[in-house]
Amino acid sequence: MAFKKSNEAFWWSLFSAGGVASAMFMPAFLVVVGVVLPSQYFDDPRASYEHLLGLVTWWPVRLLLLGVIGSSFFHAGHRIRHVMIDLGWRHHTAPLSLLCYGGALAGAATAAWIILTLPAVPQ
Amino acid sequence: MGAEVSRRYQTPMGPLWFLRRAGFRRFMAREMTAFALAVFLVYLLYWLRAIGDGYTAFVQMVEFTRNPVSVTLLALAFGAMLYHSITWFNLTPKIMPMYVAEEKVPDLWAAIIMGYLPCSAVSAVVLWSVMRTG
Repeated sequence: MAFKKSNEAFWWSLFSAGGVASAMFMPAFLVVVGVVLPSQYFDDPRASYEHLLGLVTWWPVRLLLLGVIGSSFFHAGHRIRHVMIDLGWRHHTAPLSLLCYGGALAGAATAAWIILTLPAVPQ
Repeated sequence: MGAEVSRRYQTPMGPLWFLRRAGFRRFMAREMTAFALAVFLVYLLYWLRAIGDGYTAFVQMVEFTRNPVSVTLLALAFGAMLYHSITWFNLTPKIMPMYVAEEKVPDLWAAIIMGYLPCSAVSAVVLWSVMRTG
């Protein structure tokens, strides 16, 4: 039986990149937003805000955040597509692919827009 | 895929097939972490948006994060992401075996070198950057 032509390898490469990026960064990001930011906020909210703004608008950090968040969207999209197939969405998978990869693209594009346009001066 | 259906016999399989065995359940738990990731990524974007919108928006975001529903969801997301990291690091040497002088490095060591160590370093740098003052 011949294999059907597919773009699986391309999507898998993005899935894999996002898998590594999210495995490396997400536990720490969760500790930051769940524990560190709320507790710093109690000490000195204004200083905590300005420090955070300076950090996320530093260009190396912007590019890192964009790479991690953008690739993680493709990781999630590809994996969700396969979960849905495994749960029974086996035929007519075109809308599923559109939803998953389209959603990932929309997420990554939104991330790019938000991260690249963050104003570096306190509002 | 597509509209064609294979004519070969396929055993009937309900949508809850993965509940039958512990291995299948672990597989599905691992795959399901993708949903937690997708939701958390959107939540992270809200955080970044709030930081960009200014001090008032940041304060509102912190207040929102303190609500018990949000704390519970964050705790669940943390569990899911930790599970993703652990399963990912443990699978890495199986997909990408590591060799030193023609000798295969044991999977656990390869997972530590390619996964757990860099992840610890990354986490330390992230937490240090956010927590350092002055």
